[in-house]
Amino acid sequence: MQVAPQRQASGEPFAAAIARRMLSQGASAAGRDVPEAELESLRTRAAGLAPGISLSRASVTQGLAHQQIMAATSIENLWAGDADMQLIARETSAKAIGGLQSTADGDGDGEDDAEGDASRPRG
Amino acid sequence: MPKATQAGRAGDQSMIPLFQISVKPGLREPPVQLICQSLTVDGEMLLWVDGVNAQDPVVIPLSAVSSTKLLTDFETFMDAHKSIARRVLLAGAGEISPTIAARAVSAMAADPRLDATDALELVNGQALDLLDADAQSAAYFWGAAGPVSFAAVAGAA
Repeated sequence: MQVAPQRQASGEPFAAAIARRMLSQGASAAGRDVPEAELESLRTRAAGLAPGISLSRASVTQGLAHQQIMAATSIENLWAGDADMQLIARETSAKAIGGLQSTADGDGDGEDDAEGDASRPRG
Repeated sequence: MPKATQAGRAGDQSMIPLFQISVKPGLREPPVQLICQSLTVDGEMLLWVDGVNAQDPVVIPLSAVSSTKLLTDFETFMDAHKSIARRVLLAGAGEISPTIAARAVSAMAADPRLDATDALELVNGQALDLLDADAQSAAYFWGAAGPVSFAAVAGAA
């Protein structure tokens, strides 16, 4: 998995995510002619947003995988007795667990990293 | 609903809260309403904007979004549109997020002519557009200065 340089630091700078969103909304994509003054204004506004909020990308990815497992449980509950939907629930859960293992692996390649092996329970 | 109340209701981590946010794709384009699931990480409530790339998600803090509306939670939403939701989830084959599922269900509820495959194609395309815009705008924002310079500006790295 290719990791953008800004995400290789210890934490995901969420102000950056907001800034990117602001640019998506306000200035849109590269190629559009955005006046430098407007860009500077966006930079300034971005600088004032949520300073200090910094969470690791792995935490967010794991949180999303856990929610996917919760979604699978909801599907299982809502369509109890529906064989097709029970299969969907199982597939949803299995893929989420695969995602969690990939995140725990650290590099997303689906294979164990040396430093992660010692603490990870074996099935 | 006040944001603090929304956050309080949505902070229950035994469910998947769904929010609606307004996103303006461009300066001259009208805003679109997007359903996003929220999650809480280290006490920070986040909204997952793209809904498709869990390995490299575009997330924003709920506190930073000026206009949000707590819709409901995923299970309640699916239950309220059970017939449509079944079709969407079957078409998604276990590979779609609650965000994408809810967006597709919402699209089908609004336009009965859409079938589940079309609805998923629509919302997945929209999500990829969001990712693309995010990547392009990030590149534009950082420009030649690079992300290190940005981190210094943002003070958040």
